[in-house]
Amino acid sequence: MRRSAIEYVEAKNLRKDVTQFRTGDSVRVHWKVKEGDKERVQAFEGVVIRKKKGHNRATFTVRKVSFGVGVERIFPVHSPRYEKIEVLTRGNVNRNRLFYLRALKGKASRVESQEDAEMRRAAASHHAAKANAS
Amino acid sequence: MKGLIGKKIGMTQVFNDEGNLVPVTVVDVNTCQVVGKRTPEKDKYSAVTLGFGEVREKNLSKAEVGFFKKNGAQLRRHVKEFRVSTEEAAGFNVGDAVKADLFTKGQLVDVTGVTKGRGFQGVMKRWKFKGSQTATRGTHEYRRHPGAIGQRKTPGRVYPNKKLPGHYGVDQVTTQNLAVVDVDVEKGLLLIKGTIAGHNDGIVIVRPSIKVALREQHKAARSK
Repeated sequence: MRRSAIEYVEAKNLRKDVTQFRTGDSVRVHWKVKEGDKERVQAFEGVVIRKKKGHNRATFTVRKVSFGVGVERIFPVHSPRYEKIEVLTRGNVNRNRLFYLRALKGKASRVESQEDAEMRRAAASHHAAKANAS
Repeated sequence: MKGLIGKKIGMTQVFNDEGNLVPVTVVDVNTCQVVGKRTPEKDKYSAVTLGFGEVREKNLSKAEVGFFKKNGAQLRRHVKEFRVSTEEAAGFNVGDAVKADLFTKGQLVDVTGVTKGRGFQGVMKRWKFKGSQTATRGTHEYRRHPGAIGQRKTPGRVYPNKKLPGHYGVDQVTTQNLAVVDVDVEKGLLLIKGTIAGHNDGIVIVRPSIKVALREQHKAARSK
């Protein structure tokens, strides 16, 4: 009884259109902003550096560098206040949480996309094969 | 009607209309039923008696079973009287189910519950005393003691109600002005913002906020 009632309440709050993405992905969050009685959409674009689980309380953190200043925003995954989440690139990362990005600047702070990583690997194996043959 | 009996189910978080995540306590108010009435003719005051929680006959005393049978109501585990005006009481008949739609979204309510029992506790937990401020400098009394509890030969006694160690918890506590975040009539659930006294599965009483009622009374009196 107890669990089922709580689950029922929580299930009513879940978004059904949750976009699938992973940490390291670049995303654009279309956040609805209320100004007076007008509503407009503001996009926040950056790298997902953390995803927190927790059913209806799940959140994710997006980091971007704006005018040289690092900005991080935490969004609830099931918040009714974003219109949609666009996944721009899939990142190739070896961590679940990318806090090391905070200490990096400029080129080093980029996250390699999965396509780039694949191309790099293909090139590397090509070179290795060539070296072996000669 | 002046309130409902319910069961605290537990806490969670939900998004409100503005899209903000708010903490809520889920209260189950199913099986709330009118089991008796008090009338000015017979009892010199007017009230509606509510019952809550289904129960088998063998788990009630004969006197309790007799009460429900005489009134022609179903058996209920918990019974509570709510004082209402005679006109308001006329709208309720014995056997009527009282639903969660007694309350509306956004309304302020007072919720009464019985706090968790904590047993015999010292002054730091029971009265939020600070305790010793120097944990490492060899305080002469123990770190969690209350300190001085009175004066000297005058008055030569400890004043009544002095905050001392003792039994803590299992007190009836009413939390006032909690907002109703959502009402689910079909499932018989109330979502009330914030915390409510007591453990999960504890019995709570939800009433419309008394302060809101008083404020409206004052307003009405002033405008006259």
